[in-house]
Amino acid sequence: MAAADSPSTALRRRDLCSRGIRLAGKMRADVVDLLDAYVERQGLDASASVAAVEGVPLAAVERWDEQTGTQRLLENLAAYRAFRALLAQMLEEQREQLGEADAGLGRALAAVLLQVSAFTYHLEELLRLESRGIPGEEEDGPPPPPRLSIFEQKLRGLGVLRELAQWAVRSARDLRQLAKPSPATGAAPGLPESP
Amino acid sequence: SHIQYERVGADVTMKCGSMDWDAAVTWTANGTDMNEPYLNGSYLILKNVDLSQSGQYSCYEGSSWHLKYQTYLRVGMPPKEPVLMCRSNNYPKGFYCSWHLPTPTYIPNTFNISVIHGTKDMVCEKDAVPKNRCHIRYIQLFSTVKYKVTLTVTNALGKNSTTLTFDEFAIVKPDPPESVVAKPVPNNPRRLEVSWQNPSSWPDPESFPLKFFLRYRPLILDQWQHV
Repeated sequence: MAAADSPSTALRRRDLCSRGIRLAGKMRADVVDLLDAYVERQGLDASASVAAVEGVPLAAVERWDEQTGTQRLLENLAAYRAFRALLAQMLEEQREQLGEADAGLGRALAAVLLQVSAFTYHLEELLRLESRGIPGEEEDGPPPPPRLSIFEQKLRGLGVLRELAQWAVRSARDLRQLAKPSPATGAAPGLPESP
Repeated sequence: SHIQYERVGADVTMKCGSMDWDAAVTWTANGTDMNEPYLNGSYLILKNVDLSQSGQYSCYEGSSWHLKYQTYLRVGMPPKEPVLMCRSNNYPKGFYCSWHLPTPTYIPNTFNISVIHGTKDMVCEKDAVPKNRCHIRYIQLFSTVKYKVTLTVTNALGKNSTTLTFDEFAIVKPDPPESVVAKPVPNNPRRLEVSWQNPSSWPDPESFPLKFFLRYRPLILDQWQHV
């Protein structure tokens, strides 16, 4: 990140950030609504504690305010790529479980999946602006987890939506941090210094 | 010196040290002699004590006036369930919890607070002022794991406790806006210009912007109007 931002880069970043912030806000609102519907349709207890499930990106983060812009983008990108796969899986499971009986829930899930994909695109664009290579998506990835029971699937779905609701808030804050004007040197928050 | 704590309404018996029951003694309460109705031999009997009977009780040997026993009686009550609240007015830095007792105990109380986030114990640093408040710095942000705060109040007559469980976002409540000023607009008597500032306790309004809502009414009307 040695070069100073050109005015057009700064403008494009600001534009992508404000669109991303709006998208994150809408995503949060839709996920919260979806959570209510999901809990009800799946017959779950809204206050149930769900243990952290492998593969679901946790929004919880320490030293959030010390993160560099690049760290924020990379962590967001990894998370939303994971959510894209998880939501697609949830859609599949939901179709298997409920068939066409609950088209409403399926549509709501699909709508959120679309927003997650759109947000992922935003993040990739922002990373391109930072002149960072975009990490490739692992073609093979980790081995598929063992098949869960229907109840375990429902609980994992609950965990996925809860974390996504938190991520949407975190992402909006991350983008606001990114949108802040760069320091006088012109260098955007770059790679962390080695200790 | 010896302090003795007793509940309101209790019956209290004081012995004059190692003196026999039939020894001749004199009891005083805050320096004033105590009379017959309170005495059973050399024992002092106080029935159904009330708050006004708190004080220093002394027992003297009859003829020599040697002080044989002295105690400070404090009449009070065990604590009722305390009232606890937690709030983050400086998100995302941390939050504070404050508490009070719904009714006084009239004797000294100690408060102990524990904050647990998942499996982690967190330290709640006591504020010097006010005394019934402590604050916690967030270690993690955006966590789905709930916080559990337990406050225990203890005194010589008993203990009581209360617990709060909440999400990180649920307790966020900024302080009111500051420097709220309403100015008349020149040449326009039907307009007012209102200005205000973010509360100074809110650390990062750029990343965590606040939304403001304004309502107003002429003094002669009861209905509010919203901007």
